[in-house]
Amino acid sequence: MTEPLGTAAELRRALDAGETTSAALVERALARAEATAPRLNAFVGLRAEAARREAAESDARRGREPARSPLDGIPIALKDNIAQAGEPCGCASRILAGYVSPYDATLVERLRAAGAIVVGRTNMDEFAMGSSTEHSCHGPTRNPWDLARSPGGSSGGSAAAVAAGIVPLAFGSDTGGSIRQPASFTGIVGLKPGYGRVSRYGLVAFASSLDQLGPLARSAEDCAAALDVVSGRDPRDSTSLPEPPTRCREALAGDVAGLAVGLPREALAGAGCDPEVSRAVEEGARELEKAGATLREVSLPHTRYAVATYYLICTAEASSNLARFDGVRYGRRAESAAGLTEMYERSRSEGFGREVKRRILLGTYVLSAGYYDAYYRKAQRVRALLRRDFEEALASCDALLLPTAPETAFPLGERTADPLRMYLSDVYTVSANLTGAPALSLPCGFAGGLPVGMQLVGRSGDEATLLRLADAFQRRTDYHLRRPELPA
Amino acid sequence: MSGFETVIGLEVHAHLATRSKLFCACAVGYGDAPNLHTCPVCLALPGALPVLN
Amino acid sequence: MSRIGRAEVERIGHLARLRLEPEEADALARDLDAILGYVAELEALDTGGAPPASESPVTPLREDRAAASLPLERALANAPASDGSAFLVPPVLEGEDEG
Repeated sequence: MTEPLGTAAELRRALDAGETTSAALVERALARAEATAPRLNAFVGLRAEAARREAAESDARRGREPARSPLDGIPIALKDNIAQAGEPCGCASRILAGYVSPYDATLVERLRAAGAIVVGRTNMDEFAMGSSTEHSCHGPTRNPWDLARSPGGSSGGSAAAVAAGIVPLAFGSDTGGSIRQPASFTGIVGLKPGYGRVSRYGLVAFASSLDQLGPLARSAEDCAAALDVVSGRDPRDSTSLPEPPTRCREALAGDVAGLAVGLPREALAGAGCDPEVSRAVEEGARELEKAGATLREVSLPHTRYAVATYYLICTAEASSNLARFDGVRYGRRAESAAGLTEMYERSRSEGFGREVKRRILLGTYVLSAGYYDAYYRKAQRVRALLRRDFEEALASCDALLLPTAPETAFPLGERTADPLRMYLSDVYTVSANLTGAPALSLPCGFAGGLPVGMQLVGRSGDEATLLRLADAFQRRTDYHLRRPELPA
Repeated sequence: MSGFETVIGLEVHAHLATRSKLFCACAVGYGDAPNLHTCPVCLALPGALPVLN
Repeated sequence: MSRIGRAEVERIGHLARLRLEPEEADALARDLDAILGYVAELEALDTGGAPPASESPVTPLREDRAAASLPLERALANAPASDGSAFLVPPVLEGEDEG
């Protein structure tokens, strides 16, 4: 099997120095994707011909023109819920079988303009609803660190692709933790930008007030470069911030002296969190202290209501967003339906998986007459309280530090029969989506041979501080450089 | 014939005089052939987002 | 005491245009009941008059200018059934509700 690819920064240096070509990198990525497919199932489709053509064009430009961005000529992967013109966009669902997007997501347009080369689409939980990448019509993705375990979800394919060295960078989406938790389970960095930082135009909507697109990579430096490329105002997304693209990569000076990091007492109380995970996160905190940050205790009093709040709001929004899947204009249509209503009902029932149906039903219920105030509106009030908690905590700190997940990667099949238990693994991640805060997971150690991630949550608009802290941590540690042993 | 009560209902549609549609920039070609003025937004394709006129 | 049973799931299923087999409806009723039990803790929480987080956002507006649309063939390219001009669907049957 071909050697794993290094970080995007390393590949950039090699390309600029003439030590390798984009064509060679793309061949390695494709070969490794194919070789690992039976064991990992990280990809749902590859675009080999198009990627090779783009690599050839990139190589022809190199030397004659300056690089378009740090990502120029570098192979990347995109989650299967991001629209790419001329490519399938399946969201790991039967209901989108055969659907080919006629347009590019804004994220994709910007990546193309930057010279990045998409080699394929990665596996996910159907419509991003899940925390294990087991709810996919293509079967589960496996964790490269232990093939009997989940890589996390819903961006498990993207996480596995990076952790296994198939591509240095992949994009995922995060609605309740779907970038950060897989990053934690697979030992890489996952960034959920603040709400509005990256355009959602072309991201298949799950919960419109919570969804964000973001990068997964080995290093904070690569994530910063990726964010710089894809961020910035987009008139096609009314919720995108009216600001130019970020310049986070150039701000990574390695210095975090004077930054205050808050540790929420409710998260580190340990209740429900694997003690090995708590220990690794505490050691991570001490490492940041050695790097010059000061630690202080803060409180987020409404933490215990976050998961319930999340599951009421996200399912309500999902029931609305998924109403478009009706078999009329695209996707799977039930055969031989006698009437229109039967066509809607059977197309949807045959096309959606069990978890998706569960969430649509719950969302429809909480929005229905008689229940709207008690459930949905109440949850939105609790959401306002959570926002206030975070604002108060971040008034005296530059970032908060807590575990990403209460555990390490769990075995495949362990949670699929118990949806509520699966939902509870999002306890530390959902708040950042509910409040719109930027949040990042980075590897901080191992427990039982499995990666542990710690999470940094920041002020609105302040991805830069999170990336600075993560980058400083990675200059002093090497957890992010460790690779799983994949049998040949 | 007395004893009948007349009830009149009015269903009123107001066609807005805009150049583009409510949620997307497709032209309002009233009376044109079907689907000539459609885009990812008004086709409700996966990933499309509305922008209010 | 269960909050939600098969009949209620079927009613919501109808609203969501989902057709569920009886065993499926029962299993989903159990799942939803467990989840609703979990979220019930929000009921007791005093939110102290905090306005819901979703209300009064500012919506940016777009200038009323027409732009290019998708060519007809591209618009219909993913259609499960079309006549080259329109999407074809089964008829609306007598007695079906329009809700």
